[in-house]
Amino acid sequence: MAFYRGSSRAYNRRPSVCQFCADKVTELDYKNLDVLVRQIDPEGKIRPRRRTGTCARHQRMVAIAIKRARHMALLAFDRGSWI
Amino acid sequence: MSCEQDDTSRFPLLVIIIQDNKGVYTEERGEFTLKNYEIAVILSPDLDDTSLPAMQETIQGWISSSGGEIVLTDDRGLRKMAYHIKKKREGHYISWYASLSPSGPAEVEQQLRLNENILRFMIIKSDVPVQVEQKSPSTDSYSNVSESVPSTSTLEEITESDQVSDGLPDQSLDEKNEGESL
Ligand SMILES: [Zn+2]
Repeated sequence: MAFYRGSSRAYNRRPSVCQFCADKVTELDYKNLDVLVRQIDPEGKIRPRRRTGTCARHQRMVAIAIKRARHMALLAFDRGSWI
Repeated sequence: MSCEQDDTSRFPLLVIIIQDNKGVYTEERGEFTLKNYEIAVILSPDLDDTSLPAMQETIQGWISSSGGEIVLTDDRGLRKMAYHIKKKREGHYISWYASLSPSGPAEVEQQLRLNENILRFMIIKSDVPVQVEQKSPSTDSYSNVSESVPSTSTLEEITESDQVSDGLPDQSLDEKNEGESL
């Protein structure tokens, strides 16, 4: 019982298809905060692929865009009041 | 006379070699290949109505003096920052989309770094985004009617089954652009 409870708590079920592939995203602008806010957790960290189901190619685009947005103070580096 | 002619004809060759060492040089076009960049800047909120346009013009002057051509100016206005920079809570967000020569970004960066009114800047390789490109003619007239025209025209070309799925993202993008431009 404890084993099952622990494993289900550690990992949310990952979506089967990459959201960005479904939308056929080829470029991701760092100013597109509506999209980027969904890819960070309450701590301000970039959400891992195992949670979001994003493919490797789009996860790279997400990571670069979030880091650029942090540099331009559009997103916070930590648990802050991001917009 | 013949010796002088030889010297003048030899000199342009020398120039080409020097330029070749600096960066990419295409002999076919006879000029450096320009690359597209986005120059994003956060300006100090202390700038008033007269000094803010002056500051923008000086930055545009730096870009053009380094051999760049400004394609598009994207002014997002005064907005709150996610954290403090130089003890300021908000700043004017402006980005210029420009094509620069290989030495251009370094020259522009040198100027941006020295100015105290610039809280933060970033120069990245970026093409002009499609949504902003569509928006640019309508920003000159400042009318909401022309902004809605491109989205409806694209909708008419798409079949009815695709209208529901494709129409919603277009509308949300337009709303987002309007909100951010304000
Ligand atoms: Zn993907």
